[in-house]
Amino acid sequence: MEPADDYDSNSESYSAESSRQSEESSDEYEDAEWLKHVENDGSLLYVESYVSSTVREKQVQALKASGAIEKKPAVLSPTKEIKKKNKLLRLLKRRPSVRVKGTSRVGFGGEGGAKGGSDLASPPKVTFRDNPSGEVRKVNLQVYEGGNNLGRRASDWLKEVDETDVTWDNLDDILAELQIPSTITLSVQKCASETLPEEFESDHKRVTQTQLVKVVTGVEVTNPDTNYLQQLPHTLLYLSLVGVTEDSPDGADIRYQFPNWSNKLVKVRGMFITTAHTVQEVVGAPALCSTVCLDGEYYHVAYVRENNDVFLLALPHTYVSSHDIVALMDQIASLIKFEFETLSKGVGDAKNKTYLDHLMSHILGTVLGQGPREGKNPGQPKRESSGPQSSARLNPYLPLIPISPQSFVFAYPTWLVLQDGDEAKLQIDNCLSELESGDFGDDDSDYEDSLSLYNILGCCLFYKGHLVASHLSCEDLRHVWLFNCHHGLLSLTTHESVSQLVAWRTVYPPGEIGACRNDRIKHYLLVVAMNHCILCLLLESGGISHLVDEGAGPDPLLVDQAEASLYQLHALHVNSVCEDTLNNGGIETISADEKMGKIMPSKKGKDKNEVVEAGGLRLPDVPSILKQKSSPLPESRLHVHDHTGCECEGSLGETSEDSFTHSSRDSLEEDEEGDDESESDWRIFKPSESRGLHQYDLDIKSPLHKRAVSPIRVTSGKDGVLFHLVQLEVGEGVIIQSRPSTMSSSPIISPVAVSPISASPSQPPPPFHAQVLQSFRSTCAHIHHVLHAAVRGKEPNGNYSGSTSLSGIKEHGILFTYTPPTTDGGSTGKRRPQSFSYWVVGRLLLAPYQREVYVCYHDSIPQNVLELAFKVVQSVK
Amino acid sequence: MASCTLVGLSAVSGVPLFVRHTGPGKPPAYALIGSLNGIHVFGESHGVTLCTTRTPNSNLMWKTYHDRCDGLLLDLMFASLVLLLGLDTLTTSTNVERLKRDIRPCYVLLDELLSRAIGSEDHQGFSHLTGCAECLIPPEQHSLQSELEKFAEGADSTYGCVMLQGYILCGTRNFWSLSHTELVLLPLLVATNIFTVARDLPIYLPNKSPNVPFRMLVVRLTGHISVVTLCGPTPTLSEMIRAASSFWAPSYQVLETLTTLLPWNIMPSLLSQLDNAVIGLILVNYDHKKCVSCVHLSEETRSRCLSVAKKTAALRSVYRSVVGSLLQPPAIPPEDFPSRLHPDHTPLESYISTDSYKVYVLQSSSYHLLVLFPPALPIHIARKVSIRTLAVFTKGRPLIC
Repeated sequence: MEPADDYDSNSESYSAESSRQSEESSDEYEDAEWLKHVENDGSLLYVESYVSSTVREKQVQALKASGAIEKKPAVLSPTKEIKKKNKLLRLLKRRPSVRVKGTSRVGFGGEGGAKGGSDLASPPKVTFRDNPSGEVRKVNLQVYEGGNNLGRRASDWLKEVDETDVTWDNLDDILAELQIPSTITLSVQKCASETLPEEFESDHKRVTQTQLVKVVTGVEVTNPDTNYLQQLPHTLLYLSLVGVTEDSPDGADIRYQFPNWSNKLVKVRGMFITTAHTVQEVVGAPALCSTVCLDGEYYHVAYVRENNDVFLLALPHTYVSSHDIVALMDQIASLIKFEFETLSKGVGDAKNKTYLDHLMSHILGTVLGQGPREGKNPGQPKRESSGPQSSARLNPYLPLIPISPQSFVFAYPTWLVLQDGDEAKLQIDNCLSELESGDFGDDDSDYEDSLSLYNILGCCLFYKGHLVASHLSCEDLRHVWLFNCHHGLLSLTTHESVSQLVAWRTVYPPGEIGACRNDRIKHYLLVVAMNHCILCLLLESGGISHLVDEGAGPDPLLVDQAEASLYQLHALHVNSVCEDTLNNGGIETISADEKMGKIMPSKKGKDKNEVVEAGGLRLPDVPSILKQKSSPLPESRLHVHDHTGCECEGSLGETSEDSFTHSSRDSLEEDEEGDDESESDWRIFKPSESRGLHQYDLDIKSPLHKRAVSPIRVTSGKDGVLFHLVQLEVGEGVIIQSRPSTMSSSPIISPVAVSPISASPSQPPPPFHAQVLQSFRSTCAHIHHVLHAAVRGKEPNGNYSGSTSLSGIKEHGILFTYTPPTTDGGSTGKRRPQSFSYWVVGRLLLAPYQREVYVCYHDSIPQNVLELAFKVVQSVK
Repeated sequence: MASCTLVGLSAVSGVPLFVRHTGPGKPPAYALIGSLNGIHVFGESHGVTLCTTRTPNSNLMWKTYHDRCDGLLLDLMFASLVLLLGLDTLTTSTNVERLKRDIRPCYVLLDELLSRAIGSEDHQGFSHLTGCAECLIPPEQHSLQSELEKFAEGADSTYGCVMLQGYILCGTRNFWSLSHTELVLLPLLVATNIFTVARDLPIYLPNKSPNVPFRMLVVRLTGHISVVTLCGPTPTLSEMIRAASSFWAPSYQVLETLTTLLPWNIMPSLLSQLDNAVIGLILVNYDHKKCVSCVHLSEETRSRCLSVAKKTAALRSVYRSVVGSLLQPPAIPPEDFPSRLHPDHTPLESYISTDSYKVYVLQSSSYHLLVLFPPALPIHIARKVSIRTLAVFTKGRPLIC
């Protein structure tokens, strides 16, 4: 029966407990820790780490509930699976009382997914040890359709169901076997947590946070190594000549400067003001970027003009290209306008200095922390720098902030395309829609009041820095993402699980919403997070709702509401689905090619695995080609997959044994590898089956090649020939997944994303693949530039317009040839003079709307297959 | 339509020496030119050199010249001033008014470069992009070559070439040792000056001899073909005319038939080997500083989807966006792309396809081949044809080496 019901009890003492608790929590709003942190202007950024938190009570309950729900994926028959899930959903339907009446928020649990929840599963104070002090009670429980909602208490331990010991592994089976209706006997032990109550009291006073949280919130100002930083000339300036006269002291025109020390570029700032103005006059179009030479080094200076004020960003050419810096400047200016309405109200206002300094430490520190660009000096072997070392790179301003590689040109959120596809997405969308509409099926006057304060324009959900769902317009989404990204929130939730995060700001969305802006309408951004999930809400106040006081901070009810949605998402296993998707690199193939399986002995894949793991440095693709040549089957076929809302897919360069296992289930049935686990592997991929979410839970102990879900392969054939595929659709998202799964010896593999917010680089891809990805990334930026220069050339722009002969451009492709370095033959044992060629192709799709698709594939792919790949992309909408 | 403005100022005084403008619109006002220069001067005085400024569709460049030269357009412009005036005259001249007057004869060359830069329809040619001399591939090149060597020797010159309407038919061994810039500008100078039968013109070689002038002796041999030699004080022009007419008289018929190479630029035996799908091409050999362009291909056989001017513009645009930024020869810093390429991963082939054409780009050792195809041709066919086309030009004895 339902997990929550398992905790229900008819014991009187329990109900007494719960009533006491509801009294306590009815005045929870006043006690909410974050309320104390609201700034005078109403803005707020409050983060609580998991280490110790005022909301741990909730988390413990969530954990408890999830502990009951989340078990190792068991092989269940599909029919049972569906039934169970539906019931679960029904049960987890929002109960208004939970939120608004102030009863304890029980049961809307965070998931305890083995991987994503690993940090969740280990909050320090919660112990599930047998403890003599824990009183064991036996409870008889009626199980019937519809469930009941009897009181249950946090921190109880379900020991037995009908005399069967409940373990993490068998709970799903036990639940599945329950007859409905029936009466079962539960054995529940009070948690052995003598310490808990006291902790709970004191937590309100003492919030300890992890270092990372302190850095992100700016509580703890780290002292950057200024000597080192001063060696990197980088400057952000906001210059205004308003009110500056001849007599003004030097620097009166500098309204904002970051960092605070001067350099030569600051001294010649007058040159840039004049340039910005003169060039606009001469050319008739705004100046974007200048390149200057200073002491033999080249620097790029990007401009943004607002009226007569000039906003400048200068960075060395060794760190960014001129296209990068223009894109970065655009991001910074957009974000400042989003948060402050105009540049002059933001960077032009001295009172924002501290806030902006912190923000810029994030942004510029990330850029500088990536280190000089590679490939500048082909003579210097810098091969490793994209590899393991990249994880060691640190933000020089905020040394604790981990840095992942960014692309400035493709500055859009990374979509996480859920493996479960439609179903999970539907659930998430439902949940978000409910939140947006305030439609919880109850007539709660409190909430109605709250609704009349705000009108929710849309919201979006991030998991570990990846966008999972968005109900925002394209422009709004970009700005919300910029906010989260540049304030380090995405990076924080990627690397740490937070117990609570509340951020609140007045914002000024551009575009349509912004156009009708007036004093009567204000917009706010609310960001709440729990564990690795971030939920962002864009709110409107005024207009159809009352205008809230400025500086009031977020409405506790609303925050509560949003948090409840996060709980609900947890309960829907969104976390584990996301985590699973992240770990397994994306999307499944759903069609099976039956011929392939027969020729592909699974042993081979294994051998390769071992070789690779033992070999260290690998050149796996080179042997692959050789094999391919001798094999009769390289006629690559395309697996068509249908994922609504999946904009882009990535696939891997390396053959994955799993993908064959899945895509060739028929032939595998008599495969000698058909042990239990591999059976479950392929069964998941039966298109007719509907899967339960539980199956996506990961088990760290399970062998690598037996993972439930393999990375997608869009192509079939013996070797993976499609390396990367990226589709750029502004507003729809970008995803690039590249995970050479079979090469890694660890089950946790981070995807490497082109997008600025990629996952943690703790497990960098092997060198070769990283190199391919590096080529792909920079070449995409190049192609993007060529495509866009052509598109721009069509529009008349200023006195000097570009050439039009490329204006009909549709596609640009570049063939790369990889020649293995001759010197390191020792690591692979075999010298292979054969080179390896791959294409990076970008295509501009104009109809029905402008978008770009980038694909990286092996040279041997025939053109018709590539065309199919593009067709798939087009049909995927 | 694109436009381009070139402004030359005296770095010391800031006085504008000349303003050349092509394309629609007007050049910027003097006041603006002054402040653009002022920005640069101000930066210089603080040790900061302003190089370029980008706007969405245009690019402004500043450059102060002393003696550096490379393949960029602006450098070509400066080199053409040096070519006619000499570096000393340019850099040490104290009389601005006189310098202005001196520069006036260079306008023809500057305007030609500007017109090419903006892709003006009647200014064909790719040498300003590739930095290589534009050649024709005549049949029996080697006999022509040995004749020329003999002639140059007789004229006491090591630099000599035979030119057909601005294209080089052949050159002496030493002629090919001239720099890229010189090889681009010399033919342009010959072609842009409407010569009579013969001419004696003092020129400076921007790289080889920026301060000591040579005498460029141009003698017309047939209606379109001229022989060009760079000489010292001797021989005189009249001696040269006499020598040329007696030396080349036996070859007159051969030379006359070479005129039929135009407008295809390559000899018929090669032409017949090219695939029908090829509607245009540029082949560049950087080591030998030569390039060959064919934009009149397949005109009669297939429907003329593109005019010659469009073909030229297409090849130019693709060359600009692919070569240099992506393919070797490497771009001059601070050019940007590609920013993070791994040294072991070399881009070797590329293509751009648009609504009206496809261009396939191939790099093979020192060769770059750009082949223009009709838009309907599948890219993998285009690739095969391009590889075959390169083989046509390079197999056996390399034809443009």
